[in-house]
Amino acid sequence: MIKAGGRLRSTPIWLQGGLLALLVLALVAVPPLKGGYLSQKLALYLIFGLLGLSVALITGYARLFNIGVGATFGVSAYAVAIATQHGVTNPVLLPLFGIAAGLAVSVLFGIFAIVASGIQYMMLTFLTTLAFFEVPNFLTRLTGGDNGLVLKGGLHLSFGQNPIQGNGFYYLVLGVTLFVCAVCWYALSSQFGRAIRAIGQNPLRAAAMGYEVSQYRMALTLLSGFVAAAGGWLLALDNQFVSQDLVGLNYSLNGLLYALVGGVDSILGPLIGAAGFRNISETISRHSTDSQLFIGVALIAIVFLMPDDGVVGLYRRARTRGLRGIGGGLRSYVLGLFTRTGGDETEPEAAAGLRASEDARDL
Amino acid sequence: MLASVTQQGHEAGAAGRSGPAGEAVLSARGVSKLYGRFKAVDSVDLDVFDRRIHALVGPNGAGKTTVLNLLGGQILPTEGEVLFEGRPLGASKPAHRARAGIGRSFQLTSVLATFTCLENVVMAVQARRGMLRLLRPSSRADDIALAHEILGRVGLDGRAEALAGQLAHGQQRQLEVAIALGARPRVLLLDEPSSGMSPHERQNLAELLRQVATTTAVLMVEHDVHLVRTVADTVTAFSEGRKLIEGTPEQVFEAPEVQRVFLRGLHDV
Repeated sequence: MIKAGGRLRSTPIWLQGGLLALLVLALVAVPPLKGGYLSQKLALYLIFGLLGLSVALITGYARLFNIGVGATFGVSAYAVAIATQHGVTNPVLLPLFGIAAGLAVSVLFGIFAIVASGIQYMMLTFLTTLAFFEVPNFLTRLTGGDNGLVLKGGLHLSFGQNPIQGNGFYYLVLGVTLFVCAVCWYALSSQFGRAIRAIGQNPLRAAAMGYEVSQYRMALTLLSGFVAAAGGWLLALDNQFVSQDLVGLNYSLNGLLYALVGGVDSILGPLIGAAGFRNISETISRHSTDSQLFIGVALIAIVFLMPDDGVVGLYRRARTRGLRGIGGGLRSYVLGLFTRTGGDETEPEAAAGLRASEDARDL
Repeated sequence: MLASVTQQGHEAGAAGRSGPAGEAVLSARGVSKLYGRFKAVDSVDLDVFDRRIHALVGPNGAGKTTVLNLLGGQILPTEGEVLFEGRPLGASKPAHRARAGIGRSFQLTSVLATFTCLENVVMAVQARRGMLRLLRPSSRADDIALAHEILGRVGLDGRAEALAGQLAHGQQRQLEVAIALGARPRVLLLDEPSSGMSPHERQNLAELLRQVATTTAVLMVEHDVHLVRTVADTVTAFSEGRKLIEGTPEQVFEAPEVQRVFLRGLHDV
């Protein structure tokens, strides 16, 4: 039987399952054994991993360069905070508020994905994020403006789990993250996921096959919005506070970095990217006052040298070709930088003999 | 004036297919396409008949591929309309036209490079199922069986598990045809299907086209005069966005106006 298309096919299912089970076991067992603030740290990594995953879904699978996912993340967090300010403290209702608000923003991005592509789509998401950053200033009474907004309701909001003490809140975050990843895994490894990959790779060909590109792009944008909104809800609970920077460009760009570092075409990659990037940032910050400079240089090196599929790509090459595979991957990537003649997005239009500037139709 | 010299090609297949062609499956009526002031296609009328191979020929820039894009819905006409089985297609999108029965291959090879040959064709076969119905872990057995059958028809049954991006160019063109057939089309629009093929592969392609035309209408843009002469029932020559002449391959290639256009140094028919 045919499973998901593309490179996932090459990894035996038992190996994937075994590695995943080991990882989950480690995530469950290590924090209480190690003690200290590891749970709190890992909870935050997982939350930002969700932000990275939401970016990866759009950028990696649909090949749409969205730099506004942070707005979905932030709006969800704000929705949770605003709800608590208005007396909604039911811990089951709060994620629904957050996810509904996040999905509303995603619909907007979904419309952008239907009417625009390439630079135009990127600019629309960029400008939308800038606009969202100003919203708290306009709705000061609702959002608290510059001062931000505190969540009212205490530990009841997070099912009685304390984000800054013990392991309970970490397990809540871990459970939500695993659930969200399972939903994404099912969707992406299904035939729907294959259609998404096909559309990302060659939208014109997919449309000529009979796939309604706009419908699939909207569905994936909503899935990405769901992931970001879940992260926003958890961050609001973790911080017990939301502020304007949550809906700004910083979070969007951080999400993009996590995805790029970890790998944009896998589910685990952005989670690894978020944990790795944040951990390295924190470590460098502790040892140097020029940490931002070192982080910047490290990021340039990672983004320039790392193959398109990030850390996960390195693992795949190492597994299939050994250490020489990693070197070969890097070498071919660097060579590719000088020999590329066009990106994936331009080829389909050329394939149809279309005049892209004047004539490209919405697919 | 020059167009529509004869309709004989529709009535008896020049390539050996017999019997009446019946109704036109796909038609263009007064279709024009303007890019600013430039008329890429100028008031074209065209009928593609069931179980007939119709070839569009002409020099580069004559508007052949634009006609194909107008019929496939990749672009919309500035004037005129496209009809499928007698019904206007309006502004319907390529995906809708594909599901309705208009299959399409492209001028430059356009396969899904990281998918296997079989996956490429399965993707085409199962495209007509709704998005929610595709939320299943594996493809349906009948879709896979159909995809295998189609790969066999185009001569790629031995390469089913090969990655499409690793195929030789000629095989990728064969796969293009297989993908187009995957949607079970009523009419197949092929843009230079023989481009980059070896003589042997072209011979196979001719066989394949004849076989496809036993059940499906075929409209193809083609530069290979020999292939066109071998398989086409009807040929329409284009020049500067206009229909120059239409008829059987013999009538078209022997027509003085076609000779004049093609002998202007424009050897690529």
